[in-house]
Amino acid sequence: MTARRIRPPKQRREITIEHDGKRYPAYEGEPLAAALMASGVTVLGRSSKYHRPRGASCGTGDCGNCLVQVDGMPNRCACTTPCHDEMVSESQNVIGSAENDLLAMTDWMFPRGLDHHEMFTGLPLVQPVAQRIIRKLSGLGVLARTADSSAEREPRPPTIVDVLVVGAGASGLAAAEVAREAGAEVLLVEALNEPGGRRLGGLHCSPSDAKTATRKLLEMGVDIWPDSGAVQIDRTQGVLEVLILRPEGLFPVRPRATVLCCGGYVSTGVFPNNDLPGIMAAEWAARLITKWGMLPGERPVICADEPIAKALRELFVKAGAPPVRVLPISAAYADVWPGNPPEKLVTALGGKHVERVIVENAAGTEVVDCDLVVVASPPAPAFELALDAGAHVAYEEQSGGFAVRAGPEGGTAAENVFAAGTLVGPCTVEEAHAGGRTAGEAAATAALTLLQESYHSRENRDAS
Amino acid sequence: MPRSPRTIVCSCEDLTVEDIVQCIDKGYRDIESIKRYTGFGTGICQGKACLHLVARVLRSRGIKESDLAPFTARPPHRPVALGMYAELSVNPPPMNAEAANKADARKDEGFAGKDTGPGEEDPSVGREE
Repeated sequence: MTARRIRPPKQRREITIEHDGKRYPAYEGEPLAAALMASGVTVLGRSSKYHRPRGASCGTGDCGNCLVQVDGMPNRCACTTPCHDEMVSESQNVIGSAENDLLAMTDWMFPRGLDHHEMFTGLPLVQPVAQRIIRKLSGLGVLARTADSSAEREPRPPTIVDVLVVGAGASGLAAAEVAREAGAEVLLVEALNEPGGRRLGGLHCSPSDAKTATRKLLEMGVDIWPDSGAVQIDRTQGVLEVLILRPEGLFPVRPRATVLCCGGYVSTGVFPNNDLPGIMAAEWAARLITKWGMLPGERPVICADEPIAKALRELFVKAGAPPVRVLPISAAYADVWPGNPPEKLVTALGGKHVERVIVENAAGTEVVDCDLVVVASPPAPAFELALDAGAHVAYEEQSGGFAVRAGPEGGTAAENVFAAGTLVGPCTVEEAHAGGRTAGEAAATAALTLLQESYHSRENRDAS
Repeated sequence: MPRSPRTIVCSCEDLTVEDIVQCIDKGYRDIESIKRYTGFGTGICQGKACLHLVARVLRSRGIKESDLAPFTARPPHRPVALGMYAELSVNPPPMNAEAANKADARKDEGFAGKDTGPGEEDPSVGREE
């Protein structure tokens, strides 16, 4: 295991955190996973059934591989939970620790799988005992013992805006800018703790581009909420309400028009042991290096297509860890990729961390020693909110996901709901930017038309 | 502890490519049925990490693109502490009154889209040129 800090993150205070009873150095605000990896802790969680070791693999809080109990709160993703001084985290759903979990014997005992449809059922003596044990083992985390006092707070009235933009990636930033230029009041919400999306890791363009774009938006008067993920869209009596999850609670927002730029979900390939710690999404690895000065491995295998492969190669070379092998992305998905990929990542090997991969191509089979596998998968659209709103989706071959069907201006089947970026299909940062601009303009037009109508209807009412 | 070489497609429920292929062999050939049978997509990720991988497995095993549809997405799309729902106002102010008040305030400020006065009956307001 060779993950290590290559430089301290900029302008961050050194602090101390506690994990599973041990104390570790960290930087304030950095993801818990980054701090732990820098100290050699890469097994952060265990899977629910076979208790396989899991690390932080997506980096966006979407996959649930790195769940930990933080300050008493269960099921926090170590990859998106920021460190604060004297923070206390623990492994959850283990006997022992995530590193050494006694329940990992399930993985070893049932190599051919554990069929919960039939197992332990119908056996008169075994069933009650087995059921008691299974009940004890199931469920995620342990609920906090202290009562949450938040229910006593004053209820929040809904925030009303002309245009709500969900997601501050390339498309969201562009949509917010154009909508604001058109005269709309704009709220931009981002689930991660800073705007930028794909730009943050610097694989597609300089991460400072995201900072410049954000600063410009703030100057223009766009309201930006980081750490704010949209979790639900309801439409009651024609009024659309979006619930935004922030650390302090749920905030209802009622936009006149909405631009969904929620991006997509990454994955780390389809090959045996694809869940080993040390196998991670390219964007996450890039963000760890660029933003947090944390090199996730010394000998990376890269699975990516150009131009991302080139950007990754340069990033790792610059960090002092030149890639040991670069494979096309299809190699990591060979078993399920359309057509016949020229190279195949046959398997990853290792105990609790990836130690080598086996690669197969026309020239033969090759064992590649490594301590990191970085996968730049085509992101699968995050369509859930769009479906809530009433949009339609269709299968999209490149990512294997479901993309939102949108018209040329980003309009969807849902009234005053627009979509752009990865959500409507695979796109480059430039394409996402262009799509965001079009959707932002259309949303502003729709919102301002509604606003005008509300003036008229009120004036008419006052006159009569 | 030695590990078994599994190809995981649903990391919350530890389902493998083999599990999905077994489903297909049993006659479950669409995402909804496979979800009901295996429980994939019912873990903490709610399908974010697995839906597109299961869809890929189905495609690669000969299921037609047009036969693929996602299962129903059920909010909240990220885990939310129940206390946060409890603190939401049960009777929020009605949209119309709120919107009207706000619209009035903006009218008083002389705000309007694209330099057109509010209330002017100009159909081109805010439209693309």
